[in-house]
Amino acid sequence: MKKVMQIINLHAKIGEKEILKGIDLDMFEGKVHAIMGPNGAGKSTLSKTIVGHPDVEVTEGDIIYKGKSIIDMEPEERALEGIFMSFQHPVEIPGVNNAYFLRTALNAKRKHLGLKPLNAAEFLKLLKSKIKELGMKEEMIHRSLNEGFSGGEKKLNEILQMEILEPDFVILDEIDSGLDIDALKKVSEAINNMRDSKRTFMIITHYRKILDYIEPDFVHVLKNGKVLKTGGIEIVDALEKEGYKIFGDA
Amino acid sequence: MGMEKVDKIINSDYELGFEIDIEEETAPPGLTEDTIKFISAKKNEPDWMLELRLKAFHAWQKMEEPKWAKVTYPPIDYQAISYWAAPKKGSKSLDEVDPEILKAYEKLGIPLEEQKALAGVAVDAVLDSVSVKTTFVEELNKLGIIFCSISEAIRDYPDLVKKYMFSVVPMTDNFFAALNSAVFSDGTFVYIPKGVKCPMELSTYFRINAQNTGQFERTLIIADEGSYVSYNEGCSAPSRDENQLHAAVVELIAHKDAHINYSTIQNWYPGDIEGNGGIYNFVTKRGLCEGENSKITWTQVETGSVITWKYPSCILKGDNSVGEFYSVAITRLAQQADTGTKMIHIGKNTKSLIISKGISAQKGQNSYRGLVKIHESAKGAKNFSECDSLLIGDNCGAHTFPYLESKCASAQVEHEATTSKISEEQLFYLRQRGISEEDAVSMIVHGFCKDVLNKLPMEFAVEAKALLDLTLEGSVG
Amino acid sequence: MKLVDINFEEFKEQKALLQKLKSMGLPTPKTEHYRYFGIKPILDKEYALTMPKTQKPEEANHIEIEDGSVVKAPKSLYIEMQKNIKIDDSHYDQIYYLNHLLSERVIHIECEEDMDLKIVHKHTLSKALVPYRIKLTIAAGKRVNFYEEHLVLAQDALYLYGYDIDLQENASLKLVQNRISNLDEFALIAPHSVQCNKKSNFALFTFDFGSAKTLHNYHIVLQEEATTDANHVIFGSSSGRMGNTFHIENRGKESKTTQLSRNILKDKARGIFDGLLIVKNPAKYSSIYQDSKTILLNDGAFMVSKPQMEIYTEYISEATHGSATGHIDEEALFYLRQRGIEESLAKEMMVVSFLNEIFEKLGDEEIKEEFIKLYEERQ
Repeated sequence: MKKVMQIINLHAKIGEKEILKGIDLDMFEGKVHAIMGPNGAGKSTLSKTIVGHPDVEVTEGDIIYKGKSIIDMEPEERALEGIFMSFQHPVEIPGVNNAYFLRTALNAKRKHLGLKPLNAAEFLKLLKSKIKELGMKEEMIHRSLNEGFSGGEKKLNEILQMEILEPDFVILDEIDSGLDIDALKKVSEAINNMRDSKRTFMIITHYRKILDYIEPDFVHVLKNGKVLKTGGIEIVDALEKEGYKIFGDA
Repeated sequence: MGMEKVDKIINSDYELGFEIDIEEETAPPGLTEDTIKFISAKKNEPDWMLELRLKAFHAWQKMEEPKWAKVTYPPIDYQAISYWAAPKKGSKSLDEVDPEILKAYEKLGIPLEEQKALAGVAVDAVLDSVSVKTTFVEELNKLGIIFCSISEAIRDYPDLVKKYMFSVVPMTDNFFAALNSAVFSDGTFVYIPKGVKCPMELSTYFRINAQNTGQFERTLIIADEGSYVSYNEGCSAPSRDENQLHAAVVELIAHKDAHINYSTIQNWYPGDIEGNGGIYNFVTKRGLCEGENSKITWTQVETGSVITWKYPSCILKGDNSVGEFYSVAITRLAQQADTGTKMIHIGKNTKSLIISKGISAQKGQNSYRGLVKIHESAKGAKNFSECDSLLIGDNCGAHTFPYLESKCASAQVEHEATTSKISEEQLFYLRQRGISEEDAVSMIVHGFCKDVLNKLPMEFAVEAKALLDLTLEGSVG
Repeated sequence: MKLVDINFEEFKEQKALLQKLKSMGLPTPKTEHYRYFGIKPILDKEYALTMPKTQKPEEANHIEIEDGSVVKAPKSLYIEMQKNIKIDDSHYDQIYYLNHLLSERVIHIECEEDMDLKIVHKHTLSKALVPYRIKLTIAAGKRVNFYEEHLVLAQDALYLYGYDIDLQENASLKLVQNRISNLDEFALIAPHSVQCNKKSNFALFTFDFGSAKTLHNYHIVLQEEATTDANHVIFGSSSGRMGNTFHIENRGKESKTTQLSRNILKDKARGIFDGLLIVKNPAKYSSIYQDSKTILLNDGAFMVSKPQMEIYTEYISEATHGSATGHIDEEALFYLRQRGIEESLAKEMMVVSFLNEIFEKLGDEEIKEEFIKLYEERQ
């Protein structure tokens, strides 16, 4: 197994509050890592730290991705290196056309890879085929980014972006929240289709349900800013029965 | 956001700041009756026009410069300005236009040779005090459309000019309008006959070139019953350390069932970050929806000038008439803009819509000032205004001053306004998708302005979007 | 005498005030905050200048001020006629300075404890110009409810009064101003100044019912984490002209201003809502919100709404304002009538529900009843 990301003694704070208190975590190429933990454990802060959100300040430790430290990199550089986060609450940007945005993002990535930019027609073809696959409404192409989308549509739109941008390291921050069972199935199926021997997934969730559809290779339990336990799917069963307290305190 | 970066995005250069190297004839600075007689004589005007000018001048002498706008600037010395400048060479035939001028307009993106022109756009090019060239005149004449300089109209169509000039903006309407009425040099005249839909975009490009000179143009557009016209104006000036005065008047008249679309891309020299140089832009623009079902739409993209004082307005006199105002105003550097509109509802079931987007960056101060006035007679009138402001950086200001007056119980007036900065979350979202911060800011700003930019005719929307990017480049910060 | 004829030389000793007033000049019809009020006839009118007398107040449960003199007061309360109080040096209303010039002694009420206070203003002198000022100090951390009423008997008179309020750190003041006057020829101009120190709370409820000519000009300054919640109801009828103007300055960080205005206008009445909310550069993470709604009951009733914002910092939590002027929702009216409610009552219900947001926030049924009574009388 090849380590794709190595998180070493990571301490981070938001404002004055220390949230990550020494995270050590290895993630592997082609594997699915589920991150679970109670509210306030630091799950979302961990994903924010990986993608370089400006609210988060790293005070100690490091994140090594593909052999390089990324903690001083700009968010867009990390994105171009293949890190993609599906947002828990995708923002609405009025007036910014969905398709235009996504083409800009894709062409930024293609430029980074030394590829020719896609023209509007080529891109539209790609976009339409993906939209069809996902069973989304085609009219979303003409709408503003996430504006007026339902909760489910927003999440599906995140998946659509993932499919178009083809990232290497995918963080799904509570992709299952606010989804009904049909939408959850659809999203899970799309994620499973994206799984291959190279692509790594980090799934942050509160619930077992999604892990029934997307089987994780590793489960990590986070509590109070530290990784409390690492193991396989059996951890989820234990959690289900006993709750987080069985792992004690960090 | 990373403010240093954003700063870089807005600090772009003014690319139109070159000077056209031609010989010009300028009047000595100063404003007396003789100056006005000089201007009138230069233009071979009939006596009645000179009399009107002198009347305006006498009224102006008794008037005071308005002080209510939220702009500050040192006092203007009206005797230090030259009120006339014109290229020595040149008349209306293309062969006689100084090649330097042709070159300059081409550099500005406005080719004056008809074969090179943008498809479907007829241009009147005004340089300092005179119109140097009007294109596609014959073609338009075939439809009965008059598209010429105002000087020609005064000579060739005196009845129309006498009937309509000063009918919407009276010569003593305000200090700057009175000044313009006394000294206006050139500008554009448009008449669209009954039932004619003008097949081309009509356009005037104003250029200030001479030093120490003010530009005082006057535009008059009449759309007769059932006609339609889309008119656009653009402008630029050399980068100079001194301030130059631009005081224009625009009058629009829309008769029954007529529709006038008036778009402006204002890109006068904005001065520098310390507030040195730049155009003082004091403009009175007003349209009269005279007839039933008439409609006037103002669209403006204001990126230039160090001071802007401008309120394109609609008097909705005809029943069911409609007034619209779409505006994007950007103030950066040390620019100050006090701009907005007036919608005066007089006729029954009149409607007005105001969409204003203000963007402030660096030391820019941006004020929306708008009046919606519903007369008692305007039964069933409706107004909706939306005025949003975006702040980029912590040294700028965004201000909103609506005046909403209603005297009619069956009317509805609604106003909404929000001021915010570029949202960190939006910016981060775009950056997480691999889009650079500069592009992300530009994308958000374009999105913010979209409702207005979409209202511009296609040929000009492209220009406006490019201008917006150029203006933003280096300002975010 | 006429206001325009006031001989300022008489006030030579009050240099600072005089200078301030001279630099601003008397208001004109073009002065922004007097623009819709019609100040000219008031400035030009002949009034008998009547200075309040100082007398020993009678003991009572409430404060009563008759024509500027405190005639009744609770014994426990600390009230003093004070000279040379500290005045607001950045008020936008020139009448504020004139009012102070004419009111050499200021009624100073100091609230050192939590308390509920009622103050009744009696205006009895016809054809008079009566100036007076009240300074209200709320000590740090104290909570005070201040309820004000006006009883107007004076015909053809002009009263100038106003508060200088000093809310010390952490203090709270709820000021309810119930200003009913049905005398068409009574005029009142009231410039107020409110200093909200750190973490203090100022809640203001104003009710202007009737047909008089009144204008209240509030200059409110908020320091760090201070809040102001201002609520206004105008119900104007006949040829009444009632307005409130504001400059509310958020000067300290995390300060917060909210403002609601609800207006009902009838006959030839005019309502003015002119609120300028300012966020200064140091007031990071502040929020401002303003909402003005009006129902015109007939053509010719006149509402001027000016919700205004000036913002000098990018770090703003919220800055929103809205304004709507219209009529009673016809659909809703029809709905009520279809359920068998007669039209005039249905209308009344709609009007009351329109004002309910403010009545409920205040939690005072009495004012609501007063409104309903007045509304019915005016039908």
